[in-house]
Amino acid sequence: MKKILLFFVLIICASAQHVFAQSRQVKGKVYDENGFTFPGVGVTVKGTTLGGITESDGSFQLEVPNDKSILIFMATGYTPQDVKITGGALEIHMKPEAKALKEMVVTALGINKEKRSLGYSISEVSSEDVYKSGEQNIVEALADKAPGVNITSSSGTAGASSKIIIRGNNSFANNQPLFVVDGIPVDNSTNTAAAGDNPFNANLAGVSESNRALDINPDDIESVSVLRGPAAASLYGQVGANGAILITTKKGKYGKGKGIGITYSSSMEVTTVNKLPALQDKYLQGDNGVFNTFSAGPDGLVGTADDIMGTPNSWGPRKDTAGMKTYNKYNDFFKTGMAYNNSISMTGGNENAIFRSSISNYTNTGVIPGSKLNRTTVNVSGESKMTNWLTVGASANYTNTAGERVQNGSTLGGVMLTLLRAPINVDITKSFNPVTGQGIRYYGIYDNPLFTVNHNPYTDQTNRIFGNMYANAKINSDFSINWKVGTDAYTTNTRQIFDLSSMGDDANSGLGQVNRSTLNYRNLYSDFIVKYDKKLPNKFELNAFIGHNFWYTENSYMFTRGTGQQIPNMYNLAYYSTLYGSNTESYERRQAIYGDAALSYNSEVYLTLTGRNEWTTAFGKNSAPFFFPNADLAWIFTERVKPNDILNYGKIRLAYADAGVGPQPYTNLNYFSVPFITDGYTNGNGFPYLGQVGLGTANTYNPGGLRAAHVQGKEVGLDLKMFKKKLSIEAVYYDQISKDNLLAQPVAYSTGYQYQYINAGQIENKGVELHLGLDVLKTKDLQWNIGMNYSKNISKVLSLTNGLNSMSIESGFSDIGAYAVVGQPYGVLYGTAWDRDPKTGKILVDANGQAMVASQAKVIGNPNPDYLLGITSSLTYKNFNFSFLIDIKQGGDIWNGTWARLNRIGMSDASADREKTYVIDGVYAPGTPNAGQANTTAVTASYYYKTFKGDGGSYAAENAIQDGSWIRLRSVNLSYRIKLRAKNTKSIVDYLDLGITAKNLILITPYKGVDPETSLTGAGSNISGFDYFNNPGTKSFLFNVRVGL
Amino acid sequence: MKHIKIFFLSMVCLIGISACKHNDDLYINPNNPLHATPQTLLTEIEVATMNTYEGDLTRTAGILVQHGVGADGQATATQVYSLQESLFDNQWGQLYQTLGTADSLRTIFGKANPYYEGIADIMMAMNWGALTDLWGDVPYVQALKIKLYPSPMFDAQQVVYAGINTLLDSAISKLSVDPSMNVFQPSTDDLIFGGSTANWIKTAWTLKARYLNRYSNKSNYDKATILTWLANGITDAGSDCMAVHGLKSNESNQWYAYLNSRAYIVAASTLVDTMATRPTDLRLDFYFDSTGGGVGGSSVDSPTLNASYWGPYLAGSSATPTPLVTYAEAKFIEAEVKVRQADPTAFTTLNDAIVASCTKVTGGLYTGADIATYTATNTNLNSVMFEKWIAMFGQMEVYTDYRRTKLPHLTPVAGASTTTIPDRFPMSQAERTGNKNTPSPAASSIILPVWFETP
Repeated sequence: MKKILLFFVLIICASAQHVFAQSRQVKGKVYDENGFTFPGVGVTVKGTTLGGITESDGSFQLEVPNDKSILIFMATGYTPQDVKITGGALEIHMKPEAKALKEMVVTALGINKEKRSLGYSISEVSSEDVYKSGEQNIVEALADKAPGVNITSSSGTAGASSKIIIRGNNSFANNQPLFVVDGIPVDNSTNTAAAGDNPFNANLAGVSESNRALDINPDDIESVSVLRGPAAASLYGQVGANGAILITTKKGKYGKGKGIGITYSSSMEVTTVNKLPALQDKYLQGDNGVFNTFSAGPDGLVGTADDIMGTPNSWGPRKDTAGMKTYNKYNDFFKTGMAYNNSISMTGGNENAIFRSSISNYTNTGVIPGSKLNRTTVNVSGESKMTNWLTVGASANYTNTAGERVQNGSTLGGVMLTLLRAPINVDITKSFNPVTGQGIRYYGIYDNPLFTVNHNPYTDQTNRIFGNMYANAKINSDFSINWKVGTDAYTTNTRQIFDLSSMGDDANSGLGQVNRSTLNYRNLYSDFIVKYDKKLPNKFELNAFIGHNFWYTENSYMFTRGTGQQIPNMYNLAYYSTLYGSNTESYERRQAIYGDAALSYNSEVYLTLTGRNEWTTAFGKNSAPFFFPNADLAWIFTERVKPNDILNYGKIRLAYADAGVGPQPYTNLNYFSVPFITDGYTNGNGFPYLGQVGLGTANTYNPGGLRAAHVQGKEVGLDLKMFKKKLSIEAVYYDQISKDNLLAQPVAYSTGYQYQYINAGQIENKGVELHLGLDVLKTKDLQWNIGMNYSKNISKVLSLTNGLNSMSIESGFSDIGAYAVVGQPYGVLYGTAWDRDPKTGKILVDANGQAMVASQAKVIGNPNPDYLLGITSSLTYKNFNFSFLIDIKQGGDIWNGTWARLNRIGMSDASADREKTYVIDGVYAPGTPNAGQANTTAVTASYYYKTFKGDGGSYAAENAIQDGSWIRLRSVNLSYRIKLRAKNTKSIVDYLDLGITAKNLILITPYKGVDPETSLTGAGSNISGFDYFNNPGTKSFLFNVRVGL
Repeated sequence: MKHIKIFFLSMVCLIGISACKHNDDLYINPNNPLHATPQTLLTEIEVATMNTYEGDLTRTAGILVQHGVGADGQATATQVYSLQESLFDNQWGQLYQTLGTADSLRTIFGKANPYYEGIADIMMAMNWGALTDLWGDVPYVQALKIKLYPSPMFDAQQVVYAGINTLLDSAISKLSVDPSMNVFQPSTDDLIFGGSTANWIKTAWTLKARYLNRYSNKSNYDKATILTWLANGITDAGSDCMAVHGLKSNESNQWYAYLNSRAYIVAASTLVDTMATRPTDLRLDFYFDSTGGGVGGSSVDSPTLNASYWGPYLAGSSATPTPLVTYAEAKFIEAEVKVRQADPTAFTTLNDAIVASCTKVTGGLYTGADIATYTATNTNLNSVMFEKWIAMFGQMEVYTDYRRTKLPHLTPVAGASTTTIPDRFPMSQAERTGNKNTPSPAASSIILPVWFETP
């Protein structure tokens, strides 16, 4: 990897030098239509790529080769002018262009296109939007910036992943969009460290890992194009179905005398927990009113036979009668998080070469003690006009991301599980006994949360490099060639310690364990594109290209585990009595040819046809390629309307596209595998077993003959600019169906298999996306605009496979899972439900007044939101800017397993009301004496909270389904810019920005738990809406300073 | 031009120096083999079968026969007979997957390696046994043939028992061939018996007797044959078929692993109090953990964690072996048959069975001679099944015996979701959603008796 880095640097340096032919100097000044001086006008020597930009006083100065005599002046919204060099100073008056300004956007494969020509949906997010969000994870920074995009942060832990879904879930494989930086795909996986013998879904427990787009420094981002849906991303073929996020990094700027610009920015963020489950503070640890806690017994050692286990329950005596000291564990545990970001960048350029370099560091110590993230990035890029027909460039990025994380979710070593369950009589700050070297427990099998923090650290470190080299050659006036190659390579090392006496180890033995893993990811990417741009007769114009793509990906993963720690405080594998190792690797090579032909008439009607034919090794040897077509049409109908002040611009667009989802490698043949043997309660048995390796038939049957899944999308859009372009509207309706989905279809277990990997099933996502922008006021000193993004996606599983009505999309818990059910939205929560009276819908109770559980599980919740609404407003007065972002999510159920368990163990706020009986609102079940009549039989508070509202005994998971809607003030931002150079041209400092941002300041939600923007399984999973002792979310204040030199 | 050349050269090099995989690594999984060996398959089948016979099926059976009380966690639902359909998906799948692997072993390697095929047959018999014992009618004839039967039909329980008997006959004949007829002979890869065909043959005979004894409510119940088969079977504890374990966490005894991570099941007063009435029955201190000072059981009606956990017999350490098919069981089957035959020597057999159990459980520290004092007058089906209920602690066989004989008389848990002790385990949710031939919920209700319970 070092070699690659060196290599890039070499190239960037090499391209920065130049030698030129003889030339002369030409000066002049440019004015606008009102006669004011016009800065920022592009000046180019005709027939060359030489040029520059006019200064703030409209002046310019150029070295022009002796054999050239014409200059071209260009500015957006103005008609380009050719001016002959006269010898003296030139005076140019620019004239406004009749047509709308050319707004260029980055489209698939990094091709720049005029926005008005597009028949599909692209949203753009600027570097300022990213900066203002204050987010260091680019995915989180995109929240509410574009319609159709749904972002869910898994928790407020430092470095926790954020999941991005565009227009709903299309597949049973990956549903997140492709991430591309400067034309080269970068990996955005959320990797979970898991042993080869771990039988469970590793996402259900463990730490909140980062999604790897976190490795991108947001300060390096110039703009982000969000390719919403298959039409926009069709040219990415079998990875285009979920849309794409195209990131363009900042570059230097061409122009004479641009010199060197330096930008330094620094921020400090103060973070606190924003929402926690409400707990009772009246009752102590124990059962049936009798106090009972853990005791290490006479020998003082935990984990020995004389231990008194105690109880996890808080059904003990009242604290006022027991007279015991009690504690506020939230105060004792959570702390104020601090994050610092420092970033410096340097840009430079002349007429022929540009460069930019940046260094940044971000450090975040989270609200959960022991959680930390540190990221350092170095980025260099350069581009040079080698000759008048050839431009070459390269960029390279190095990132080091290191995290310290804590366990969450369903594990005895998880901080939230043991913290929330800790009875009020437990002083969690007493977590370690230095005499015995053991943790102090309050229940026989739980670690103290602060013991976990201090003794069970998870550390990870990622070293990553990504970058590219490219050459753009202009062959003649019509043809040009672009070739770009790039790579993305990283290594992640992780280490999880479960210290002596921790119950978090796999065997829950307290004997100590260390897990170490190394993940290597690498891709290699090349796009070779030949472009043809030609103005045809009769106002027709053709812009076309054909290209070839090579894309190689490899993954390798090595896991080692030591159990039975022999020396305290030593975590080297050498000091563990038993070692285990596992490794996996996979390789895939894709190649494709593609083409794009855009025909336009009079800048009014644009028709684009594209196609990509793709081969992948994942389908096996000699497999057939797959074709992904796209057609889109844009009509700017206002070209037919007389210019007026009401409707300034209007476009109707239509697109039909087909993009794909590729299979996992090696899924076309049947293999034997080392199986997981577990009943689901223990970690089970694995191999090598007593020195013997065991192999079984795999649990998935691969009949072969796979095809790529196709997502076929139709969309129709309307773009309007009205009232002197003060109001802009973008409305889209889309309907996309994924067909031939690649899925592990559950089969009858009695076949000897549990799944078969086949093409089957259809998922539909249709919806409406609306973007509104309104310039309320626009004067020289005062600007006020309001923006709104609305998205509504209706997801529906149209079919699965022959006769199959429902299937789990990913392994969940035994009584609650995420399912695909025909006729229902994707990923519905499926679990045990109460038996209900078919007439009234009321819960059936038995003769004892206790609710009855239905014999079959069913759909009990929908985690997909009804709609998302983001409202932004920005008010600028002179150098002040005030802006805010309100984020509304309506609907989206969450299974609050935390709440149910806290009820059951008598820790929840509600369960304090226990000195009374309860009558369940239900009717007596058939077969009981008063069948059909309203229930009047009271049940004990113990039954009511442990079972009816909890997860003990004969309970139904449906009782914990809660509405995860929210209204939040996601960010509010106040900034002030001091323009020093504007006042004094000799000032070294150009400008100084001061800003303060508050994030998540207000959260309104009916959800009874942590911040409902939460995910147990993180961005690496297709499960949504699981909360089982998830880490909490945060709110924060962020102060930033930015200096431009 | 020099710069340009360097540049293009570097672009080509970038692909060149970053070596890519070619050929098979792109097409054939480097992580899993296309071909296995008889050794690796056998080891897997044995481990999976041992795991099944120790795991949640057995724990659940133990709660239902009131050996244990589910006092916390997921076990509280089992305690009140709230057996949800998803509860045993893992086990149902594991049973069939193991059968599939065993079937592969027989198909691929059986012809050249009859010993391997014979052991695979026995393992299959045990897996089919667990399936039909607990669920009654299950897919059998059409099972394990995904291409032909993606939705296998369910077969009647007696069909499965007949099949088990055929498998065991096949095993005995395969294991009796001359060693020279085998390309490979099992050794350390046979975790249970280290390749001892003699022990496997004995296990097969005892299993044949166990499954023939399922017919005790039927008119064609063949008592004499059972005794004949038992005579060929395990006749001393040295040949007991035991689940073997090791100290590594992945080799762990599943009782130990469960109680260590989820201490949700404690001793039931039903068993503890019964055994405590004869204070000399030292098995109690081996069944349960008495280190805290004596053994206490939880009431089955109001569970509490304030009771004893499992002791050294089944959960002493990660490496503690547990019984699968034993001499003690064989003696109890013999005693039951003799009682049913009204054989006057049945009491001797019963006493032998008790001694065998006590010796086994306590590792020879206690022979149980002081409680193995049954006489011809007080030996009857009640006493045999009562003693067997105590002796078979921690084995799912005891739940089958209870349903077959309704002995000993257990009082169902008060206020539970069914008024009787469930007669079968709930049909797997995964099977229901994946197999359109799955019987209706009514036809597989947990309170519907299975075939062997009925006359």
